Amino acid sequence: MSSSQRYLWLNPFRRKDPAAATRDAWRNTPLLKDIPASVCHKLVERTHLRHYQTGEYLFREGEAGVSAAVIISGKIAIESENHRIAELGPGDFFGEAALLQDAPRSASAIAVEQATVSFLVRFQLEEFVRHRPGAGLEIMTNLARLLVARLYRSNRGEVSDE
Amino acid sequence: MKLWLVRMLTGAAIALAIGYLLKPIWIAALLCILFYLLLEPLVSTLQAAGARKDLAIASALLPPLIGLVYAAMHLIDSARDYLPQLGQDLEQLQLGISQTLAQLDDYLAVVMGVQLSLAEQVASLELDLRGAARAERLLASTSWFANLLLNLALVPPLAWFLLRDYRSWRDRALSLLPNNQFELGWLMYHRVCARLQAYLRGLVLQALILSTITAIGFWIIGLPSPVLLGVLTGVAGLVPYLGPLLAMIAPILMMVAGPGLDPGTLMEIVLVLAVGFGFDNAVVIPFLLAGSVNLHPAVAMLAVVIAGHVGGITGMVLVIPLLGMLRIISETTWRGLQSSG
Repeated sequence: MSSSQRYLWLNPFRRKDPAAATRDAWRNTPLLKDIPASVCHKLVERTHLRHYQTGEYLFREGEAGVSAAVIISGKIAIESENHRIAELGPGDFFGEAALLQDAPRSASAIAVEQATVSFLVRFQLEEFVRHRPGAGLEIMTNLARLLVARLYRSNRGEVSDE
Repeated sequence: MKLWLVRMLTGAAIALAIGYLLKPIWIAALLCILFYLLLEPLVSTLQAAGARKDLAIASALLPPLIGLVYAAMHLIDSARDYLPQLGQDLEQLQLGISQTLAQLDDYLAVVMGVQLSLAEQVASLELDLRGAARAERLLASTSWFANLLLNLALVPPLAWFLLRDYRSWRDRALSLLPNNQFELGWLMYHRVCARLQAYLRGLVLQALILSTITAIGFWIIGLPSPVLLGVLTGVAGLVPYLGPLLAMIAPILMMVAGPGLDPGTLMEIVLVLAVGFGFDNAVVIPFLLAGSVNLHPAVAMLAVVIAGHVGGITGMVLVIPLLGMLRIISETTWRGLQSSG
């Protein structure tokens, strides 16, 4: 069977899974590196998908942050004191410092074009870690590695994502 | 009017409407929330140990439900046995109050030379305690008992669904927030829940400890029904500031209805309550409840008195956590509005 025939037979009867893109995006983040797929799915079920118009803020510098985010579609600019630090696209992961502490956001995030972003809220991650301490330990270790890497880059004067 | 104010007012109106609709089942709702607050950590622990969610909920919920059913059956049995004697006891209580007041009148006249005629004044009120126990009034109160039983019957399924589905209901509700208030909403929810859970868990433990201490004390001094008196004292102790005064009512009434007001027994009752509330204030409150709501004592006392007038004992118990909750919501909203410019 050729690929076009396979497409013809398979796709009309296949259910579209709107959560698949979100799951794939989260699974490719450094936070969920080496975490089993079943555990990833359980965690991603708790994330929140939100849609932003061009120019709409995801969060502002100085606001209390409680979530990390992954871009599903569209582009997001990271700005601090009216300077654009970075422009992020689909699959990029940012705001992870808010998964650990109540500190204010160090930069603003603004949608450069229509964007869909998936958020993981700290309190839900904490609940997940309490329910699944084994997987939770791996996730928190990944988070610590990620933050140490960012700190290292920051000390060397490289630009951070947030 | 600003959009955020409109949203807050709309939210408050919806909460009030839901509260009004839930009025007939408020006992069931309150018990379910208490079950949730007390059992949720246990369910989490069981799940963390590898138990399936449904099994974890069933294991956590079953023992307290059996206890609740047993308590309800015991209460019904006791009430059925006691009802024929109720009228006689109430008459005895009325007589006891008259005699005690007459003794107090004599004492005041001899020691201080004051004629208050308390016994005559109370007699002029024509209190008819036995009338309160007449058949038609008891029949009227059966609808109240039916409502209570309905509420108790609703507790197991509601507690089950609350323990199983609360998180998904919460996530759906919070996902309705607009983009710019999404994180603020979660932060507010978390702060309110953390304080409220700590406060309500503390209250339940406080009531249990106070009930146990005073029940043992009442048993030692030989008062009838020490367990019932201990439970009533534990409930009265939940009322901030006025608790010790309210706690004195039941044992004194029981003493007046029985052997009459005896200064020695009165001192023993005061001693038991002093030990119970002393332990409560010195150990339980500082460790379990300190700083959980951070309200000024004057505001708290005023709120307790007003809530007692509006909502009785339930209002008095709930007003402090509700005020604490309102304070956190307003503070978090204000900070959020300031930081978002």
